[in-house]
Amino acid sequence: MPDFKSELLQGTLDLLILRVLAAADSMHGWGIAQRIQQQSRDALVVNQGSLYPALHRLEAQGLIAAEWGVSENNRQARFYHLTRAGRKQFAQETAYWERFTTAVRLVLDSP
Amino acid sequence: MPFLRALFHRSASERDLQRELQHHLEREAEENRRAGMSPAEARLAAERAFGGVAQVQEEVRDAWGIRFVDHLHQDISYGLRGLRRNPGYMIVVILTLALGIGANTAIFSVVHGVLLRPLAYAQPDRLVTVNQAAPKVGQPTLGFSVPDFMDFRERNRAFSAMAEYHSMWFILLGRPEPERVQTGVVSDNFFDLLGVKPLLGRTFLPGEDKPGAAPVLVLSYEYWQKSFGGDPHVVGQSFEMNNKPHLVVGVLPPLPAFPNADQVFMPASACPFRGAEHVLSNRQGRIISNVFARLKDGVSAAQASDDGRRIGVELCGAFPQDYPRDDGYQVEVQDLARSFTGNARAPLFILLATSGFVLLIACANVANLALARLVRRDREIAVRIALGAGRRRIFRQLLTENLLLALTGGAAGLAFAAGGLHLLIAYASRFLPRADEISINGPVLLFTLGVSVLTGLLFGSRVPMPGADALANTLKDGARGSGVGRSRLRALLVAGQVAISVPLLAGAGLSVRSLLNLQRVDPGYQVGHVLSANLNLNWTRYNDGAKRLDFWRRAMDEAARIPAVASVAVSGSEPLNGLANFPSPFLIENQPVPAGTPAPHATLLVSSEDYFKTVGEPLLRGRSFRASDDAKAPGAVVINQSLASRLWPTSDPLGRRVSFDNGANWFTIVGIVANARAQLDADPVDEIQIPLQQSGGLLSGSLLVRTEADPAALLHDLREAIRRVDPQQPVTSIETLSQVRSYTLAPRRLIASLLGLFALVALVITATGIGGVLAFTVSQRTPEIGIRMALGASRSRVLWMVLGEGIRLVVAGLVVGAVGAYFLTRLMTSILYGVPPGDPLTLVTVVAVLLAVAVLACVLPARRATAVNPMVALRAS
Repeated sequence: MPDFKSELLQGTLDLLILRVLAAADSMHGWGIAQRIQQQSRDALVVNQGSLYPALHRLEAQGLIAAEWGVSENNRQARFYHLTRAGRKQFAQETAYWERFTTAVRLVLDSP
Repeated sequence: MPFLRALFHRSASERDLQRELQHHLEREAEENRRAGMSPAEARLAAERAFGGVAQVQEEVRDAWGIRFVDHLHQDISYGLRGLRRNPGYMIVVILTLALGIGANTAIFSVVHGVLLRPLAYAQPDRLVTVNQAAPKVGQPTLGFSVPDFMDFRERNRAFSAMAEYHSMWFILLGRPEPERVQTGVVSDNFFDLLGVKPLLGRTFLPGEDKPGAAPVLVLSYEYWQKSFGGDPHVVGQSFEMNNKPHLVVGVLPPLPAFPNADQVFMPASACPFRGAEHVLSNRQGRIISNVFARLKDGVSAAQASDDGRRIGVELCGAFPQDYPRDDGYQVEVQDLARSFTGNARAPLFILLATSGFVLLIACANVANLALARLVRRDREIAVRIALGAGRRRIFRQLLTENLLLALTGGAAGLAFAAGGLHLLIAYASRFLPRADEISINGPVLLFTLGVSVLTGLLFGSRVPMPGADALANTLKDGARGSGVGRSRLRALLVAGQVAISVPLLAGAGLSVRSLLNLQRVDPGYQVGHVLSANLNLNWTRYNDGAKRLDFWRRAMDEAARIPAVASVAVSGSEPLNGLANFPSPFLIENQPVPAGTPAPHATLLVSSEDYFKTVGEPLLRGRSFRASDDAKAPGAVVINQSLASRLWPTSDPLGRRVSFDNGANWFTIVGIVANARAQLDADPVDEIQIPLQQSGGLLSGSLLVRTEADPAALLHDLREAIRRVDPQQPVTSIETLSQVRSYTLAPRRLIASLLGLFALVALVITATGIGGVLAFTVSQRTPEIGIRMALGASRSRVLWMVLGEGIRLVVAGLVVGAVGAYFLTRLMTSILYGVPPGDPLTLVTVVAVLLAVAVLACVLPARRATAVNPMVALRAS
């Protein structure tokens, strides 16, 4: 599957961002992208072209919030964290995703 | 302003985004370096991995989306799309608003230019005029004599400066042609007092109005432009006036034509009349027409009035002969701005109020249209709310749409106003002192913008949102528009329109009736078939009475030679010229004045023999003047009926003698003529006519000819006749008496036409409003009507049901409106003639007209209701 890296299902990026932020206190954009890549063992490469619009979209929806802080290399960076609404949304989306993958699995595994 | 804040925030957000993306690139490059790339390579690789920065920014901006500007943009484009789908609605609304806003813009620009704009003087609110009056003998203004003025200057405690003014016509020589120039004769401090700085050169210096000072001139801006083409070298040139060289020392900036449209100004000492010995010392030689003063710091207008009255009392005590208490002599101090616009104030404010009412009616109509449209859009809105659109958001979107319409209407109205304004100015300049200051300028544009936005809010804010249960109802299939509340609002709007229309129509009706009354007024002359040439003789050429008499005599002879001329006369005062009267006191032989009563007064007029015949003023008794009533013959006068019945109600005035110089010369009353009016809208005043040949010769007067033919056809012949007498004598104006009469009615005609126009617009808008509401009700009630008819209601019953509903609304509005009109029309008392405000006949007519129009407007939708086919209506629901 040579193209797998570049293809991220529509909507899954939002879920991944929420997942990363749910586990961390707060993170900047580059860090989020790195974390997704690491945790998927480099299977998922986040395209920055869609990362930032996704972040700002989530922010506009009130699921995440951002503030300026100092990054590990001593530079000004924008740090994101989950809001209460974001946490709820993450729980819902995770449940949905579980159901969805289970369903797909069932279909694929059926004889 | 939220709009600006959004913009500001937006740019801050942009900066933040840039910094955020920058940080990402740096972090990535750092990682690449750690992996062993050179710094340049690392940077390049990071950028390559990132992709297009601009594209990311664009996508992030899309994600922002929820900001005000974007919403506004969305709202506007959504509104435009909605309106484009409904062009009929859009056009009707914009046109209605354009009419309303256009009318208001035009009238406001006049009010602003004439009344509101500060005068072009320094601290104009500290400027006043001082006036001497004798109201008991019908003299609202006496003017000032030179001794009067000097006394006021010395005795006052309220003014930091005082200046005198009067205006004369002089001939200016030294140009290719002799020019008649209107000349303001003023104190040397006149321009300093007003705070006027010269455009070129200087104004007058202290001492230049003292006797013996070398004559100097200052040119008005308009005269300088028109006659000298704006040549700056005119300063320093010398021109001959009144047999003396006058040096031009300066040019004025554009100034309001007040008190008169003077072309040049000269200091008081340069005026040969003002400088004459008998004028300088005569307390009753009141040559000065206006006195201006500037209030001292800390002195209020009221204190200045008290000070003026005090001086009046002192003068009365010191010179009882010259300031007769019995005449009601008094001193008035008045705001300069007010004396500027005295008569124009009331009509202008009436017009402004009227145009405001028209706009209110237009707003009500548009609000009704918007409501009707909203009902049709109920489902759309309900669906949008159900899909998650916020109510506030929808409200804002509707408001944006309305503001969009209002602003477009405002722009169209502005175009209307700009198109019509020059006509209004051209017409108004004949009787408004500041007409040339009227323009569509910053404040007027601001006014229009404000009115437009207000209009949009006014008709757009009454948008009742469907409640939750109404929402559910609306979403049910086949449900019709909800909203009992809305139909009540719509009914209220229509009733309000009718109510406002009543005073508008009543005002127009009263004003038109006043005009008609005035046109029917018998002036006491036969104005048809009379041509009048007004002449001002050159004072230096005609410097004694005999020369002047000779001119008039020869002019009459030449005019009489024109074929088709039936009779010729000369008069010192053109009939119907509308000039204020200046009654003078006189003595009656053997009839002393009882103490404590004013001496008899009458307006003194000079006319030649045949005058009464020429202007058609009937001789009631005795005789008119003859050629033999000359300087050698005993004095003769003709009095009018009004004076005869006032002074000699029971006895015969013929043969009585009167004197105008305390008994030095006596004139015998030889005839009585019928009353004639100098002003159409004022009752005839007491008049005494003196024969031309015993008058000392007129310096200015009118040559009048009566003809059997069209008098306008003699224009050229009459000019030629005057040229044959003196080729250098300019004719000031030449016009038929019918024209003179028509000019005097011009202001009232303008007011009546504007009020009439506004009333007509109001009527049309209201009628469409009533019709529209009823038509809408019918369309909403079609199923109900269908059921009624299916159950046996006759067509006429349905017709009456619908008509009745419309008429109930109208009648409610009419009642309220009639009561309002009864009181509101009192405000226009000052511009009415021969008809009282709240005149029952006018009110009844107006109510009847409105009712008739309303019924007509109701009939169409009502007939449509009777055409409902019960089967179709029921099936459709």
